[in-house]
Amino acid sequence: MRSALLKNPIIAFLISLKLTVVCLFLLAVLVLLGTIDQVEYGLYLAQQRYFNSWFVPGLYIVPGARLVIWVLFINLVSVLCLRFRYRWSNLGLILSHTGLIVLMLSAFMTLHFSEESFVQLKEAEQSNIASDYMLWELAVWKDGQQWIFKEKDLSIGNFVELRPVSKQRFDVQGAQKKVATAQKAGVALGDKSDFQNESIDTHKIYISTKYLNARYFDTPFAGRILKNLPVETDFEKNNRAVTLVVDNREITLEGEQESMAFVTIDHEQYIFELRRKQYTLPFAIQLLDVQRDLHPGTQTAKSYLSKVKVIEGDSKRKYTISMNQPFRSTAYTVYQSSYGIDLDGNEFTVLAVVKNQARLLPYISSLIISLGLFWHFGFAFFAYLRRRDV
Amino acid sequence: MFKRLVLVLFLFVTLPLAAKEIDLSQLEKVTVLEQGRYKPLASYARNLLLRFSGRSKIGKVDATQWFAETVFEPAKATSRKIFLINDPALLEALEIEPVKHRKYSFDQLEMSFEKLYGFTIAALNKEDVDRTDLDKEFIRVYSNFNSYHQLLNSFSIFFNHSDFDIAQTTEYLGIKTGENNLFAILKTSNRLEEWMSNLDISSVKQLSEKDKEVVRLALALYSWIETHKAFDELYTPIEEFKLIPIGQEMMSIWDLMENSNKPELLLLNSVYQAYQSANQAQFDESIIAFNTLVKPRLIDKRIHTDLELLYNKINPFGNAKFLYGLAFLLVMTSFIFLPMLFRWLSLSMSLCGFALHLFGLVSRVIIQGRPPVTNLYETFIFVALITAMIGLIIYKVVDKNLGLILTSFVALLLLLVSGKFASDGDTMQVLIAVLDSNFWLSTHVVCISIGYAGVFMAGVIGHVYIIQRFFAGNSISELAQRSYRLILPVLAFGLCFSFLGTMLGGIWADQSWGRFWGWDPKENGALLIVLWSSIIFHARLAGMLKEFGIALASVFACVVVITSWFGINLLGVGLHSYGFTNGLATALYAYYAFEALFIIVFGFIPLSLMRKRKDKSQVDDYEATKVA
Repeated sequence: MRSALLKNPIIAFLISLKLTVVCLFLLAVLVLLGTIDQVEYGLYLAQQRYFNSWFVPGLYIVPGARLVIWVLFINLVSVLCLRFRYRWSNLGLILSHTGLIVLMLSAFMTLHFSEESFVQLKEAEQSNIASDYMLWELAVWKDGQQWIFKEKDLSIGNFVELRPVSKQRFDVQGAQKKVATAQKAGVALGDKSDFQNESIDTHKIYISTKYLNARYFDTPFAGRILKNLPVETDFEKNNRAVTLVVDNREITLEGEQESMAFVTIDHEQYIFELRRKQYTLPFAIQLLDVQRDLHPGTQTAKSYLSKVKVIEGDSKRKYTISMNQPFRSTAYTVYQSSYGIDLDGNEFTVLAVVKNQARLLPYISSLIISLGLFWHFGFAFFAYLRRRDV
Repeated sequence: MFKRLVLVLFLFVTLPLAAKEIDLSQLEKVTVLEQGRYKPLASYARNLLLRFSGRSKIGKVDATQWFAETVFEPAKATSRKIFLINDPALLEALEIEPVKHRKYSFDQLEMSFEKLYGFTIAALNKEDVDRTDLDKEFIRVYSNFNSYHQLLNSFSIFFNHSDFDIAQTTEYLGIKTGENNLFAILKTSNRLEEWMSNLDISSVKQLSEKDKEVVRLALALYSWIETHKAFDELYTPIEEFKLIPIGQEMMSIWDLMENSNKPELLLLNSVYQAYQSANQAQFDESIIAFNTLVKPRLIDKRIHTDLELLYNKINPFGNAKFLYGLAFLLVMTSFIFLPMLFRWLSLSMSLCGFALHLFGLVSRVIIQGRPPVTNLYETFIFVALITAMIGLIIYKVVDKNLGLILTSFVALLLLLVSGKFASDGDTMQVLIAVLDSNFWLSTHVVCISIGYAGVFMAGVIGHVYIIQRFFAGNSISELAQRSYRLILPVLAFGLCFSFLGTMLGGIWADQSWGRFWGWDPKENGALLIVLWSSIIFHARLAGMLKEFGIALASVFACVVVITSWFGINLLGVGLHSYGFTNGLATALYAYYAFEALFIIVFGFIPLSLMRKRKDKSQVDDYEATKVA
């Protein structure tokens, strides 16, 4: 049975060592190119181009790392099922290759199911909302109803619709508080009166422009203008802006300075907000204290730490989160990411929040592969020494 | 500018009494804070001298002697040629005549100060990416000039100066004869103030000689203090010599001048006076008393002064370099005559070099209180030690000559490269917050470095094999076979540790940043080593690489290791971009060129010749068969 299978040209191709070598070589080339490209395009874009793609954009005959890794995965599974002979002398090889499969699975799960976000808090503040580093979204709400449009929906020329929704997945109180703060700060939120008497017969929103990185600038003659800026290589620094057309009226939202606007449609007030993609955490974090310890006589930080209170239902627990010492709760892990002082002199902390159900898989796979490698090469080395003695 | 010149004049007017012959072993032990680390003064002096001149000695004058001369006898020190200037264009701009040894004195730079200042400000006004190498050199030289200038003034409040000569009011002010310095006058500032308040200075003619002297002293006092304040504004950053712990801070002598009755200042004045009068006993006693007074107040009590002094004195890596070099020469000599004797001598030198090397590394671990690999300099030292260890194992287990060649040559080469990273000053820097984890430093970084050593060593053996094949012609010698048989085991050793190190790095990243893998350039570099080593093993099994191909691929593995190790840092992006200098970029390109040339000359050309010969012999066989 086995020998018959091995004669099948497809199977022979799938378990071929030459295929392994070609895939490993391609992967090495992609890793090299993806590393060099980071100088010009930054980590995020280079990662999307070479590592998260099936084919490298712009070089369509060149497979991306995603495709290469899938082929390697199939090659590896085929080899493990059909090629390896399961005996003690092959234990090292079997372990290391099985570990690789687990590692690839963990990469798959992390890529598709993990969420990376951050929470920025001043002392005494608390929040259960975390923001994405890279992705943005458009949120629209009225009277407790909310619509969220993902960044990929906000392409130029697209329409998005405000259909009635029944399920709420946002903190209404928090949103109202945010609006109040924006109004207090004098942020222009669109002229409500302009829309009061408009008759709007459609709830469609047209995306007329979208900028990956743009900011409002005050100019002496032209007033406030939105300027399209070059894309930052440090991708999370890019500030989005979109121009929406609602009932033939244009609303421009800019993520940093004018992220909200009020629009009245059919005598009902809607609030539009362009913001980093938000995640609702199953717990709230309250910052009690943030500390930075410096090396004596320098401005080099020795350590950062945040003392927090984690509120989950009725339970309130105090934790200290510092560099290399995160706080974990089920699939969530909260890390000390950054520290800063705002313009008013208030200290703030930035906590990275990662949700990853497969967090332990890389640990397990690393252990299995390392055991396999050391077992295999250790045996080979002792065999070499024995041969030498003979 | 004027104030700057005024202070420089202070230094020149103040002539030292005589050249001093004084033992500085107590001075070396004074604790100084530099770049966040407490260290003995000897280390501080050594780092400064390295930074200025690229050397830890000036001829026979060691760093502490140079330091003592600089702070205690500045007028003599300023003529010492200690500033290393590499760029002839800078010298041309400053109108300084270039000299062969490329070192210039403070006096020479001071003469061209206006130009140096102007060019540096112009360079600083440019964006970092727009700065040329010359701009960077101007900034470097100016920064060194400023640091040195501040050092020259460290003890100047104790210098006798004509501004503070007293003839009429000695008794009233309570100043002893010969104490005509700022420090002595500061102690009497209350009396000066009292005298001045009773003076009617509206008519100078009515002032007595005593009054005039008091006015002169008060003006001098004011002028010196104001000049120093102006210096504080001029210098960025301020790099004063700080040695007095007050609360959480370390203070310089000038910082405390308004508290002139502080015992620390009295003791330091005593040190200075003892040095000037070459009073060894007073010098030592004052320093011991100073140390006893301040040490309990240091925040970090973990200071291994004696060990660090021993480390500096022994210069373990410098001497290990010498011994490895000697071992290499001896083993090469053993191929010509008296093989047993020279091989034994080579082994002895290698072992001595290894012992010193190990001592240096262990000392650094104890002094810093953390694992041995935290910056690029340390990775070279550590990898050199591991390669030497692998070489010694090869000596014992496989081949004596090859083992000795590998031990001595590779360790020497890597230690020579490490020297390039040491010329910026202190190599025991403090760690940024995220790296400050002894557990991960001792697991991930150590494993990755062992991996570098293994794969690099396999590549070096590949070089040896190819050279052996090149000179052996058609026949494959037993020696070459022995080298070949070593490539894969050593590569496997490197692969295992590279993989383990990479995975541990992922786990550290997961613990610190919340992601196991982020395609950061350094992570990618480590992955490249793992991938390339795996390609060699799989290509061998697939029959795609034979003996010679494996050796060539292992040579290329060296290129991969070097790229991953510090070539990646050249990109200047990612979380691990540190410690790269322009000089090293040139060295890196030269290395790539060398390997390309090596692969072509010793690899591809002989390979194509071999193929031709093989084809020809196949044709001959065919002809012979036909004839038969």
